[in-house]
Amino acid sequence: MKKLMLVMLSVLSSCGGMGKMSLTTWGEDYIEQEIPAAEFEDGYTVKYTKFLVVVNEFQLATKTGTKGPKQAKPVLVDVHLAGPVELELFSEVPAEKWDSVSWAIMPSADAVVLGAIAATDVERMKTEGYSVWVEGTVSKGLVSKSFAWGFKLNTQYTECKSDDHGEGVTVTTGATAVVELTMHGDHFWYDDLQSPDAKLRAEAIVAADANLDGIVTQAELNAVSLTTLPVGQYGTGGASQVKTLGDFVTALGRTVGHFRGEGECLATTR
Amino acid sequence: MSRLIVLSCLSLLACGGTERTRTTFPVQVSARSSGLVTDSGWSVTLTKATAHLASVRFFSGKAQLARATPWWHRALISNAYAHPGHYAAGEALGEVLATLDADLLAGPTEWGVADGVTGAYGSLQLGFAEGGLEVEGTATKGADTVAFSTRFTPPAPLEGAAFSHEMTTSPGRVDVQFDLSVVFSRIDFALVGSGAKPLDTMSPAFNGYARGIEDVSAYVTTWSAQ
Repeated sequence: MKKLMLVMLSVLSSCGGMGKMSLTTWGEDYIEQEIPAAEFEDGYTVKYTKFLVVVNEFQLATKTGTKGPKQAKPVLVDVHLAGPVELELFSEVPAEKWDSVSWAIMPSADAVVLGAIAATDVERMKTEGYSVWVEGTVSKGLVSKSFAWGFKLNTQYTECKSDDHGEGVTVTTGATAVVELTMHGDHFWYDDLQSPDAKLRAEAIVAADANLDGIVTQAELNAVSLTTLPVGQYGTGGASQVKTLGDFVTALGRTVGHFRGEGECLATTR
Repeated sequence: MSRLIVLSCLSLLACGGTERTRTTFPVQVSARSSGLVTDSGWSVTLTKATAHLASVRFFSGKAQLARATPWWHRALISNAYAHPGHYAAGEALGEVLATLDADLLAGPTEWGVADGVTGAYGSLQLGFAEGGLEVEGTATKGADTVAFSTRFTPPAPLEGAAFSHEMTTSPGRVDVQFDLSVVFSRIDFALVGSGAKPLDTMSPAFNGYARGIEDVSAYVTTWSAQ
């Protein structure tokens, strides 16, 4: 039935008309509200207070090589704030099946700031070259640690597709298609880079607070060798250079970008 | 079960609409075992390295990691749908189901002839038999020398090792090379716990050994046309 609808959309779109496309982003409840304890293998809860990302290079295209509209400016947005948030409205989009959609999360010194983001945060993102900055707390019972981590990742997402909408996006004449770049805040807490049995887990990250000041820093994560963690947790698949918990969390940071909910893209590190 | 999947792909337009042709190809096991230096600076000399193997299965799904150089700048999780747990094996395309005790220090060892089908191969699954990877040797750092022996058997077959090849009926050979520099890279022989021969299984050194075996980038698989 879903395939039939997609085919019908493709037929409707091939009429030579024009439509619109609204590019949005959303952090879902996991980033806006919390990741509840029931999701964690070890019972922790994570609440983000900031989840800044720089979205850039969104491009509509087809597999046959036709290029469509492209994102005009990089955008810095805090997906902890209530969303979805519109990043850009493409008002003149040829009505057709754009089956080769790509975008990137990457640092930018001239990103347009969307929504209420503190000037100090904007300054840090731009001058220190971060593409992702997350702050929040991880807690269980009386234990609570805060974190503020920045990542200078440059990740290109290509060949985006979703189960609900298929490859890319279909723009129909006179209508507005909505494409949501969905951020998955739970990914920072997975305990394996490859296994389908990966679990959300926080104990090792909480325990990384070596000076017991209640703050888990990236320096403290970098000081934790994975060889000190139980075998069977924090597996790295084929990422042989991921040796510390800091490396591991950074690797997971490349996976936060998704497409139209649970959809995925090919992620390439640049 | 896996054999059933492979055979089901032999029919026309099976398994996702791709036409397949039955093929066979030999598989061998080899190793890179010289010049081993761990991340913590130990030089390792092996006197024994035996891989106890049970199976290798080939799949269409791409490995989640593609190596590039320099790694830190270029490759981590690339050329794949990057999501923890989202490695998808895809279609089963070939397999060798035979136990093998391969002496990795003795040169290439024939494993067997794989039954398979043509198509785009993307990854493999490596199954170890009891004993896993068994090693003995010495590690030296400055004036310190540590004699060690250990073995580790992964509790489940290792999935998602890269093998990118368009398999046809043309003759050739698959070589699964154990890169022992990857296997040993995480071991700090200063952290052997209660002992190194045999290696204390609760020690960080053993943990590093186990993680090295489970690092699928340690298995470099190539095709050689004949």
